[in-house]
Amino acid sequence: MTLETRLSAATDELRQRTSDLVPPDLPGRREGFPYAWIAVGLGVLLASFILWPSPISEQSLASDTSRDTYTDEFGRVWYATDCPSADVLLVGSADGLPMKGHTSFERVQSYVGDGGRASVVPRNGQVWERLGDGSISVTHVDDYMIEVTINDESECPQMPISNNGIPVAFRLVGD
Amino acid sequence: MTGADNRRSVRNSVDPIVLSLETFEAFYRREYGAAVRLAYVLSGSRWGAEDLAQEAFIAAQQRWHEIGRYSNPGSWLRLVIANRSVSLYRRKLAEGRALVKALAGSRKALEASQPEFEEVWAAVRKLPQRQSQVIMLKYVEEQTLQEIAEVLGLSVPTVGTHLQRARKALAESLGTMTEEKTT
Repeated sequence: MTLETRLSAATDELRQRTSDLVPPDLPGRREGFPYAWIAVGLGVLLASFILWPSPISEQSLASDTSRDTYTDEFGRVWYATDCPSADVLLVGSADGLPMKGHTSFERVQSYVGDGGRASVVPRNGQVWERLGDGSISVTHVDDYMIEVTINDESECPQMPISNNGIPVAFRLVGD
Repeated sequence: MTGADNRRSVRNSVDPIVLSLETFEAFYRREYGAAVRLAYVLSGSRWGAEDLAQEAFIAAQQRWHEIGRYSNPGSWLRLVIANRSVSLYRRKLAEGRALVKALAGSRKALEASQPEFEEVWAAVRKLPQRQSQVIMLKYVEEQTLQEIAEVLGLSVPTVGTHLQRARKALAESLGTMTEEKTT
């Protein structure tokens, strides 16, 4: 069998295997008036900065002091998950932290589907925000993240994961 | 034509005669399957292929007022996917996001290939980056050397060289013979 024959057979099989793929809705997919949607988004963002209440209060849960955390050589504090490559950063530089407002209870809840293996759990760590003068401020808030249960370590991602700006922690079933 | 000329050609080829531009919606539905196949073969990720393809579509959507005017928006899309799929960071990130969606109940992985076919794709992924991209575009996308040159921003002779070397390396790794075709 020649190389071309093998490539052709593999291609045919791949096409057959992917023939029933259905394009999902993309986030915010719209035809026409893209600038109007951008303007609305910027307006909402601006309003949220002006009106945002100080740290989440009603939905705050008590900090879980039994959580397993550790400090790395750079002084960053991590929440140790069951996937060591995907631990969640709690204290550190703004680079790896969630943006203020992205980890509110309501927002995190909105990204957790019903009946799946994801749930909302307290994070209670630092977040960043851009101040009026353009500088970045890092503050501590009682906030939330997504926790998903996995069946075995082979499902672990190879790096910290966030979903729509929300940190994701991984827990092995049965732990 | 040099590689730089080709890159300019892909990005600036606006046909002023075209009055009825394709909508993003139509482009998205037409190209989705091919985009996922490209991402899968180059990344090898059954979990992350759809996410990699969707990332590229989102990027295209955000600039559709510009990209939609290109004579071939599909070339731009394929270049983005080809580059993102071979990036370890992008691949792992896409896999992680797809995993989260799967566990939240909104995503399934692509079905696994049969072993004899997966062996072929695994050998393609082991090639140097450019060679694997050229093989993918040539065989799965069935593009001409000129089209591949436009997608990757290379000259046609360079694409021919990559293709020839890739065929030789694949034939050796898969223990098969190669037909000496260069078009």
